[in-house]
Amino acid sequence: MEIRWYQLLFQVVNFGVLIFLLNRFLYRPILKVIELRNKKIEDSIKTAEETFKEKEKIAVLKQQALSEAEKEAVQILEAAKQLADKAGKRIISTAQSEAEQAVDKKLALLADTLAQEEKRLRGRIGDLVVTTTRQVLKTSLTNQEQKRIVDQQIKELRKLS
Amino acid sequence: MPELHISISAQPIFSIGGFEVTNSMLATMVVTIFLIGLAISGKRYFHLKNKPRWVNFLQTIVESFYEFVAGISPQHAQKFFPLVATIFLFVLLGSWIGLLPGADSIGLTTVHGFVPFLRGATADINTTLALAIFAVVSVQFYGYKHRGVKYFGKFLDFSSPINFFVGVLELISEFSRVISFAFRLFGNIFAGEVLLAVIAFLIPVVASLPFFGLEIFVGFIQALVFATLTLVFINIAVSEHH
Amino acid sequence: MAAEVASNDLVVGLTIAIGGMGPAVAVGLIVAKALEAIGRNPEASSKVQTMMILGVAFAEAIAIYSLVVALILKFV
Repeated sequence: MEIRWYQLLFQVVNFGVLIFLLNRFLYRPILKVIELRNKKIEDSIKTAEETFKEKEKIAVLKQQALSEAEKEAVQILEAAKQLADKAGKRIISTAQSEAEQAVDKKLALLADTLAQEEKRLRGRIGDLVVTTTRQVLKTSLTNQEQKRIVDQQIKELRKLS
Repeated sequence: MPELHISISAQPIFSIGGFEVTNSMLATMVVTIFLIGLAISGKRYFHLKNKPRWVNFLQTIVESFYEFVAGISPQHAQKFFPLVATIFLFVLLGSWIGLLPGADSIGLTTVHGFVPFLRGATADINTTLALAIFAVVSVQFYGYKHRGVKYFGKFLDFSSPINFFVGVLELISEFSRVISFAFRLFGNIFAGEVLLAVIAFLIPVVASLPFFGLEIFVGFIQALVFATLTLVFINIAVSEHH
Repeated sequence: MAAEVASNDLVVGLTIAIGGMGPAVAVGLIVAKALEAIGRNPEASSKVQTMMILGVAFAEAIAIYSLVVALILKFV
């Protein structure tokens, strides 16, 4: 076993050259690839996080919009209900008043006809009274008879009315 | 009885201008060229989605080792990763190349006797010592880079005799780290090769198969240990309190 | 000559045998404690494993030193 300085030197130089060339052709390209890959992974993680955040934001917005829409719908519904109530009341009241008017008219008409009839009847009664009186006068009536006849007439009249 | 052929040191195959080229150096070159070839031919695929399987495999290994480094040293993983990963890959393949079929059996018969072309790159004390020196010097370098001159204050502390002595001990411990690194790796891998040779010598067929599995595992563990220890030492050096 | 070879072999064998005893006990204790820790806190298993491998490597280094000495004595 002998140690020779030129062999040692050869080995050292050889190893130095090997390190230099391997660093140039093997390690640096591979480390670059690793770095690129890590960067890519980091980037994708970042974008994924951003997308996730955006998604959450959108979800919150959606929730808000939904609740707002719900509130609005409730409001609209209530307003519609109120409107319908009002309209219904109005319709009912107009209907009522119309009906009342109609009834009033009818009543007035009835009263009118009644009054006319009464007038007519009164006229006829008067005639009848006059004729009967004439007849009674023809037959010369006693006071008593006269009174009886008038009573009778009045009775008849009452019956009529 | 044939002789068991084991050589504790790397053997020279040929020489260039007085410098002998050993089979371990040859294996080191093969490992280096193989790794660089892999890296260069795989480079254009790394960022693509559809890539050949072997590129996927290579990328998975490098990435999981990066995760490992980032688990131990989260702040400085990018800075220390090249050194630590290169140690891991080089030691791994340098140990495994000695397990290849024919690594210890195909060779030349020279004046020194039979010499195989390939020998485990880390089964040579020169390789492991060079790696250990590189690692420990890197530890000092990173310590100085992150903490400035203050880093060397732990070796030279004149505030009290006890602290001075502790500083000397720290200095000695750095050298013992070099020796520990070098001999741990060399001992493990070389012992593995001796084990395989002895088993193959005793029972030529089948019997050495489970030991190959063991040696593959040992190679992996030693690569991991060398890289992890380097990383931990660097981590200790760059942190304020040691 | 034969006696010298035999004593050399004996020294080599004793080197690794005695040198391996301490680390063997140490590795056993380290792994036992690590397993205990993992059993108590399974989430920390990866961290414990890393530290365990480091500790085992340190303990094992001692055995490797004696192994290297034995190999040097045997083959050099």
